[in-house]
Amino acid sequence: MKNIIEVKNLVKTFKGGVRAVDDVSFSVQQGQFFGFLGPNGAGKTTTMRVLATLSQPTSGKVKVNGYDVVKEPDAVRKSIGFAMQSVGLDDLATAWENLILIGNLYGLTVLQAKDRARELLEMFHLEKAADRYVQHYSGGMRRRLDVATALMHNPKILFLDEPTEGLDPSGRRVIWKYLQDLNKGGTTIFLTTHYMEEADYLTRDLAIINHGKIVVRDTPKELKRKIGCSFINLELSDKDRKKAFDLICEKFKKLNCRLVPGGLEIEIAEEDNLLPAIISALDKVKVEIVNFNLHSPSLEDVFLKYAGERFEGEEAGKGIDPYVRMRQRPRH
Amino acid sequence: MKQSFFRTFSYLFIRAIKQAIRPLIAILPSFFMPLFFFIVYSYAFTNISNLPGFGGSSYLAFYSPVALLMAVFFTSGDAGFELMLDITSGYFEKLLLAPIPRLAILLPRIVAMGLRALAQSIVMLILLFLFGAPLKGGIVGILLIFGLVIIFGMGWSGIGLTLAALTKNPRVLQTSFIFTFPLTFITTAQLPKELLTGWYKVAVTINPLTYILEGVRGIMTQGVDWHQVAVSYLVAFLILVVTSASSIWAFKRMVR
Ligand SMILES: Nc1ncnc2c1ncn2[C@@H]1O[C@H](COP(=O)(O)OP(=O)(O)O)[C@@H](O)[C@H]1O
Ligand SMILES: [Mg+2]
Repeated sequence: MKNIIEVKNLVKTFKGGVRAVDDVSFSVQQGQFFGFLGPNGAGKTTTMRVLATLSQPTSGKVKVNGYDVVKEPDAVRKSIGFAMQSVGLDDLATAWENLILIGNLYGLTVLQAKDRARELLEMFHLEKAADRYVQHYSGGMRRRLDVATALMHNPKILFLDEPTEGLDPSGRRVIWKYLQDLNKGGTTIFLTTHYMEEADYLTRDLAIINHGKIVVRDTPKELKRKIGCSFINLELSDKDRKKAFDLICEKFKKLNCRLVPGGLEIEIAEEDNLLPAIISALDKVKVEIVNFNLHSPSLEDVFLKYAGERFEGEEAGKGIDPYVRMRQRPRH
Repeated sequence: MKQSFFRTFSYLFIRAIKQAIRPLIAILPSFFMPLFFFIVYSYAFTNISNLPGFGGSSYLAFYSPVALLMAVFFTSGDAGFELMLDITSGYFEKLLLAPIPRLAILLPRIVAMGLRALAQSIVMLILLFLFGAPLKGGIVGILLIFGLVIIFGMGWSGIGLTLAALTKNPRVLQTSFIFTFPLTFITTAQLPKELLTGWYKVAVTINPLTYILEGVRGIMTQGVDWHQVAVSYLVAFLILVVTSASSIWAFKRMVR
């Protein structure tokens, strides 16, 4: 498969010296569903804006669909659709007018634009509101319409910057479903999101960016596998917690066990299968297990491992693996 | 790869017109304010026109061209606000994302303002005529007035567009009005030049708006004087050239 996006040594420095993208290189294959993850301020939006010709690179080379973003911006623009982080719609026009105008600007005839608009309105469940002014739309409707406008000209590559931010679960499903179909039809998708389950569900290739640098790049499956362990969470009463902790530390010396609010968390290597042994050992000393669960690493664990240190930066030097500290935060 | 300039221009021209008349009620203030001044001044200052310098015409006749131009003046300020609205709403970036010539985003706004100025002066002329304003210039005069307000409307819109593109700040644009609005007063709007003195007279003489106003006023109250018409057209045209150049410069700087 050929690379449809190629980024080489991209640097973007803003006035005032902020180096938002710091020597980034990567490529995306044609037909991929690519996830671009990272904490707030990591440089995701800045990178996408350069790829979409909205912002000039400070240095480096960027090719999209084979065209150079600096030298052939219009060819790049024709190849891509971009649903930006903040919605950009004409509020004093209807959804219908919004779509038709954008279609026309990309060279569709009025007839073609009408057909396409009808199709997209239906796909995004907006046909009933099609003739209402956009200013009266709810946030979710605006978001869906915004994604629809990015698709009017059937772009080869679709950039989506947090497209499901602020959507309710059903609105999110509508977009997921459509994106999957679109990708199956051959469109390359470049997605950023804050929702790890979304990235896990949709993408087949991932990069995590932090402080303007790409820290890891792989398939979601491989990234999760590389974590190399699963987690057992035991919920225990306060009086038993310390007792259980001491017991496990003593009996299972190799395991990484730690106290967390309300119980214990134990890391076990996937292949060890120590759960029954741990439970029976605790049972023997009459520790009452209120609840327990075993989970394999999720994309969230991956994310926290590679980009989680942002929250704990200062304390990382105190000899505690920042990843471990992160895991002690309550889950939601 | 780029879309044609004229196609893009026409699509965005239509949009600029739609944006201007939505909601319809928003265009009323630009009529209301000039008519308000017109009515109040015409009645309050009826007797002033007995002074020499008015050439025997009534104050109502004297002031009606001011009302006409004030309407155009207010409307042309909207161009900057509408561009600002697009910038703050994020729609402007949507347009930048399209494979279209960049200037085809800006120029339709200026030309649309010409059409709006025309539509507005048609309505204003009818209203003023009903109030008893004279139209000495006849049909030719009316056409000359229309031509003049089209050029002036486009020209004046360039100031707001320049400021919007340069600052991208709605507050600055709002404030700029405080500086441009007095220009409409420091003209022969209230009194003929013969009755003005000192620095005020100097200021009025160098204010380009004075010449536009005198052009329209001449046509309405005296008839077509080709010399005066030529002067007013020349001034309007100069305004258009200068402000278009500045707005194009500011725009290119913004989208670079
Ligand atoms: N126009 C700008 N001027 C100056 N700094 C900016 C600008 N846009 C973004 N930044 C800075 O660049 C960094 C990366 O921002 P961004 O790409 O928006 O991050 P993300 O999308 O990953 O949350 C941040 O530190 C942000 O403050
Ligand atoms: Mg962002």
